[in-house]
Amino acid sequence: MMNGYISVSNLEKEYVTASREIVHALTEINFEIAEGEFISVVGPSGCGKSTLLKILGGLLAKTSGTCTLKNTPIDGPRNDVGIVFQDPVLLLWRNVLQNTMLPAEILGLDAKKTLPRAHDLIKLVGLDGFEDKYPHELSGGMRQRNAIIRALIHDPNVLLMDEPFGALDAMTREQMNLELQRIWLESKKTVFFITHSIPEAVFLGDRVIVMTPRPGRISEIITVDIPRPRSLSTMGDEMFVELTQRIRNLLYVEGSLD
Amino acid sequence: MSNDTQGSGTPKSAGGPSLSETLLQRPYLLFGVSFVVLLVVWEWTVNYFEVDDFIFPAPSGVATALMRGLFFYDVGSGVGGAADFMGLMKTSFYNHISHTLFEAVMGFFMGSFIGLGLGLVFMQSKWVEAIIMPYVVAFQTLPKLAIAPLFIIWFGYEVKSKIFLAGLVAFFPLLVNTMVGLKSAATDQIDLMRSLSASRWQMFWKMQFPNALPFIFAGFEIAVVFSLLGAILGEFVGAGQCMWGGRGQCGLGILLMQMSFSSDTTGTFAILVILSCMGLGMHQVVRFVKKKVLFWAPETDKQMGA
Ligand SMILES: Nc1ncnc2c1ncn2[C@@H]1O[C@H](COP(=O)(O)OP(=O)(O)OP(=O)(O)O)[C@@H](O)[C@H]1O
Ligand SMILES: [Mg+2]
Repeated sequence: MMNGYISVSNLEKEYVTASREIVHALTEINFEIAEGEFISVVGPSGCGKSTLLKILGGLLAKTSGTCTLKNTPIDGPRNDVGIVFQDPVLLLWRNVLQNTMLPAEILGLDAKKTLPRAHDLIKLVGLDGFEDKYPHELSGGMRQRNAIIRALIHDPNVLLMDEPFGALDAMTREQMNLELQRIWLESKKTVFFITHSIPEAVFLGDRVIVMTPRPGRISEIITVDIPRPRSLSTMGDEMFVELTQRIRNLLYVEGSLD
Repeated sequence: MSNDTQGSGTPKSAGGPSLSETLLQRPYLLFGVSFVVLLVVWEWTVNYFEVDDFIFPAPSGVATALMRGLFFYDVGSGVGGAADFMGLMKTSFYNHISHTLFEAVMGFFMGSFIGLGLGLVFMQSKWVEAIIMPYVVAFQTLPKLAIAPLFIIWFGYEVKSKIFLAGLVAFFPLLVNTMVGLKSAATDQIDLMRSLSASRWQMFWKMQFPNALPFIFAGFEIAVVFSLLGAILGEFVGAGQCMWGGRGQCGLGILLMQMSFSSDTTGTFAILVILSCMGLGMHQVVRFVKKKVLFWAPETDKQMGA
């Protein structure tokens, strides 16, 4: 069955280190993602989450197996994919608006169309009034929001996010979770979202991929049947607590969470 | 003292900021105060121990020599005597200053921009970089003093050899810093650009080059100081004729040599003061441009203070 929007089957990834050792980073990775689905990924440090994301983003070559997006193999970066990296990776010499417009510029999109869209996005994440501020004048959360809308400017169908909120404090993080859910509900993109936080994974995901290390593999894919929009009080629900506990058990049985 | 008993949480008490706080918050004021103290101690020590001017002049003597040279065109204490066999002392300070400044500034622009340009070119190919780099390192470790006489042979005693020498020493900081700067792009930044299928050209101008700018400006800051050094070095090795105004030979380096021949320590100190002011001034100009261009870089922000 290879008809998912994104399909990954029998994916293997081995790194060859500088000292010619072979690191088996991913093995037997199989999953499918439906169009418009929000997939969360959790797993201990070093289990190959970022490796998987980079392969999906066409930034890293796989060792074997198949990865397809819309039934075409992923063999390089594609314009219909937006990536949010673990760090915001804003260009320091560009202000909020210019950073947001970077993909549009590089892809040569018509500024007449993308500029109004940039302003809409800036408003959407509450950065209006900061268009001409530079990264060093923004808070960590603002930078992260800037990085998120940069990934959205060229209206990609797929959003790959690598621990985008890892560096934020708990309160900002919850706010960002709510905002991300809102953006997703409005745009219905297919999202692949890596996180270290189990509650975050459950809160945002339609399904949660739980990974274990050495070598990185999928231990289970858990469906989150909680209606949307979810609010912070959802985290107190019985179902939510049950799911997070189940994931926690999976991780503690197979390896330790750092 | 009563502040201490109120706990360390409230450094600013009702009495307003103390003297030490005021000084620490204003580095220029602090420098001014320490400088005055230094001068006073220096003057007093020299007078008290009756140190000979020839060994170590008092600041008042240096100031007098400086004023005489700057305002009365009368350089050095041994004026007109046998020491002045080259007529150097009758040439205004400003002629010496302008010659040295000219050499240093020309050398700076030539050397640093060629260094910057070559750095940009070399980094376009890993092959070129790998082949060139050992030579660059080897050449850089060579003491430039050893090359100076060669430059006199190749380019003559006139201003050209000084400019080229200043250029040479300004060249390397820019070459090396440009190369290091272009390599400094984080993998994340490269991945970002790659994920957008950026062309090599876009990768370079939209990311790599601006990313290298803080390194390049650090290079300029070093180069501007080095270029003055290079010019003086060139003048030490071979004196050139005055190009404009003044008779005989021009350049602060030449004047410095001359004063050392005539054992004019006070005059030497005066020239050193001028040289350090020139170096400081040129450095400040570069810093000014750097702050304008690199307003976005976090380091400059910290250095700017208030
Ligand atoms: N370029 C590389 N060369 C060699 N080994 C690598 C390389 N990149 C990653 N690895 C190894 O592959 C494994 C998976 O790394 P990866 O970065 O994908 O983990 P991760 O799950 O994203 O971890 P974290 O949660 O800490 O970000 C690790 O053991 C790591 O040491
Ligand atoms: Mg990672």
